[in-house]
Order: sequence, then structure tokens, then C-alpha cells
Amino acid sequence: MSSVSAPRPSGLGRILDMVPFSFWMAILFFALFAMTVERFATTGNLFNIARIAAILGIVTCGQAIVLVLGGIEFSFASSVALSSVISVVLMPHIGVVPAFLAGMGTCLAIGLINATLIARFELPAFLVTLGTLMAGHGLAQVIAGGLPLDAPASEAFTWPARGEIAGVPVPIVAALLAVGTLHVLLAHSLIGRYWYMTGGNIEAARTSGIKVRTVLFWGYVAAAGFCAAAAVILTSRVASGHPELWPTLSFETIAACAIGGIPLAGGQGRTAQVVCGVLIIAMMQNAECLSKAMGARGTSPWLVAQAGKHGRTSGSRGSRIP
Amino acid sequence: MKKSFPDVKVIAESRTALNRAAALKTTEDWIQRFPDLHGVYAAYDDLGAGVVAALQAAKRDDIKVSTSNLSQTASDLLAKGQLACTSIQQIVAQGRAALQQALAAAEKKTVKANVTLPALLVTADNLKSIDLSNVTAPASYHP
Repeated sequence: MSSVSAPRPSGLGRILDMVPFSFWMAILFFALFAMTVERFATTGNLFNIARIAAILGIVTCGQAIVLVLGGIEFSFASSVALSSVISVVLMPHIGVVPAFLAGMGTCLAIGLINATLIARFELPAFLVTLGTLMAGHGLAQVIAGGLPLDAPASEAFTWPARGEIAGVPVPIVAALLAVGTLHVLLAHSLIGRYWYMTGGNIEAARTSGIKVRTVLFWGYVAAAGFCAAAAVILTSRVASGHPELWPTLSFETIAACAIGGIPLAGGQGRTAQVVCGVLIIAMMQNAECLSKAMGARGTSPWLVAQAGKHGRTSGSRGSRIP
Repeated sequence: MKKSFPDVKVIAESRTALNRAAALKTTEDWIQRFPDLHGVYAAYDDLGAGVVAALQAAKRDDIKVSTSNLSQTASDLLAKGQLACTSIQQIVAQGRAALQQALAAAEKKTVKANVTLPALLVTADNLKSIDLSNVTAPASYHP
């Protein structure tokens, strides 16, 4: 999109032109953290980052489509939460795989509601997805009875989050597939072209004969499809149907797109920017947890890590609720 | 804590891990940051379940986990030996004590400035036998 007026450079110059600015930022952050944060660049930690980036990345692929369309999607957070609750509630009755499929269906159903209201009734995406965000969280709370539900443990259940395909963790394989799909959709498909045109200028797209309602509709459904895949991995990861699974997920995906360099105005955005934005966020969150800054005293902590000798932990001393 | 348990050194605290998924992620990162981590205390059972999930995935059975609240989740984890202990407030006893103070105040009798009731420590050993009469509401109680 940016090289419309510039003459096309050839060879290496052309490749460099395709690299988003956020790629160099990602490299810079990686180098910075690797040098300043202890244990950041260990294999184990890089896998940690990859696993988190994988889940965030799959959902961000969906957000990227919506942003290209000039919209915004807030309801991913409640989609994954409701999906996890429905999966875990149904699991004892219908088995692991059908339960996961039902969970994916939940995400798609929310996506269909968004798509219908936004494309058919031309309501602002901001309001529609904010509404489904709240409604989805509310429904998840009601179904779960306000408390997280524990999933019956089984090999099949933990596979999406902890399994491996040819030595590569399943979430990372899924993320690579998602990124590949997004690239094909955005750069090599007709609907992708239409998404850019509609997002860039909806009236121009309409007058040039594009059925913008259909284009918008399938954009939001595709976004929900990415969310559905992530919901299965997340549910498997926490082994729980959780009404508060990842409350800030939608905002993190928007942040990842913005950091990657996708403008929120619509009509622009590439897969490479999604990947770089997600990696930057995942690295920053991880580095924050690994760095000495975490652990400053002050307000009441929720998690406390302890090192030292054991054997003195038993006794009847009462602990206080913080 | 320092006075009662000088051998226990708190090496990190998190105020941002507020649900199971966040606790899981934080613990994954902590295992990387502190290879010699010995234990994690979580403020309530849902966080503890996230911590346990991370430790199980990393096969770090040596790291002990303790939490608070004795939810169904915590009972299951205790029974499976994945949780060292959890604590539970004696809420029935607390309510009773509070009501006694309120009654005393209403009858213009002397009231205590501070009433302390200890929490109960629940481990796999006393999980089945522990007396929860001061924790669970009696069957006759209807709000």
C-alpha cells in the first residue's frame, strides 16, 4: 500500500521495503532484553514467550482483519471466556472433541451476531462489540455460577495447549497456520482485496460495485474463526471453564496491531506487522515478569514466590486474607 | 514473616496476576527466572490452580504451592497431592463473634476493640477429617 507512488526497488531493496518498521523495533527490544534481563534469552524462556505470543497472535490475526475493515473488535475476551465455560460444562456429557467444537461454535456465534449487527444493520462496530463483550462475560458468569469450573483432566484435553507436533508445541504450530492463513487472506485472495477497499473507503467500494455488507460480514466471521482456535488452546491451557479467562485479551490484540504499525483508521495492515506487534508485546510482558522491577513491595501481592528451606511451613498459624 | 520464618526468603511478588491464566503465565516466567524456586503462595485457590498448572506442565513437582480459601478446586488439588496446603477462614465463628459484639454493644455492655480468630490450615492429611463446622453454614441456616 505504501509503495503505490514510489518506484519499485529491486532485489534486496525490495525485500527491505517489505519489512515493517516494527520488525526493527522487535529486534531492538529483543537485543535490549537479552542484554539487560537475566535469563531472558534462555531456550526455556524463549519457548514461554513463543507460547504466549502464539495464543495472542492467533486472536490478533482476527483483530487485524477487523482493523483493515476500519472496524474494531472488543468481544474476543468474552468470546474465549464463554467458549471455555461452554466447553467445560458440556465436556462430561459429550466428550472432549465435541465440547471443543461447541466452544468454537460459541465464538463463531458471537462473531455472527457482531457481523449481522455491523454489516446488515450498519451499527458502529465499537458499540456492537462492546455490547457482546459485556453480554458474553455476563452469560459466562451466569452459566459458570460465578466461579471457575474445573475441567476433568485427560490427555486429549491438554493436547491443544501442551501437546507437540513433530517436537513443536501445538500452540506454535496453530499460530504459524493462523499467520499463514491471514497472509493468504490479506495478500492473495479476492475477499482480502475487498477488505482493504471497504476499509479504505466504504463509499468508494460501494460505488465501484463491491457488496460491502457481504464483505464486512465475512470479515467479522473470519475474525471470530481465529478467536475460536485460540479459545480451544486457552481452555486447554488453564484446564478450566473460566468466566474471567483473559479479560484484557481484546485490548492486547488492538495494542499488538497498533504497535505492529496497523493504523486504526482502516484500509491498511499486513501480516508481518501483526507478527512483529505480537512479539513485541509478548517480549515486554515476559521481560517485565523476569526483571527485578517486579517484586517491589507496597500493596498486597496476589502471588508470592518463596525460596528457602522447607520444613517450617506446618503449624496452626492462621493466615490472613489480604 | 521474617521474624517467624527467617529461612523463608520472598524473592518475588506479583500484583498483576489476578486470574488463573495470568497466574499460570506469571509462574511459567518465574520458573525461568528462578531455577531454585522452592514455593509459591497464591492469595486464593483459583490463582493456585494456575500456579499448579504451570508447575505440572514444567514437571516441577519439587516446588510447593499454598493458597487460601479451600474451594472445591483446592480440595481436588490437595487430594491429588499437587497442593501443599490451603487455609480457610472460620467464617461462621467470625459471624458469631461479630454478632456477639453487636449484641453487647446494643445492650451497652463492654465490647472488645479487636477479636482475632485464627484461620484453619488444610493439608492432604486433615482434608477428610477437618472440622468445618465453623466454616460451612449449618443446615438449618436460611438467609
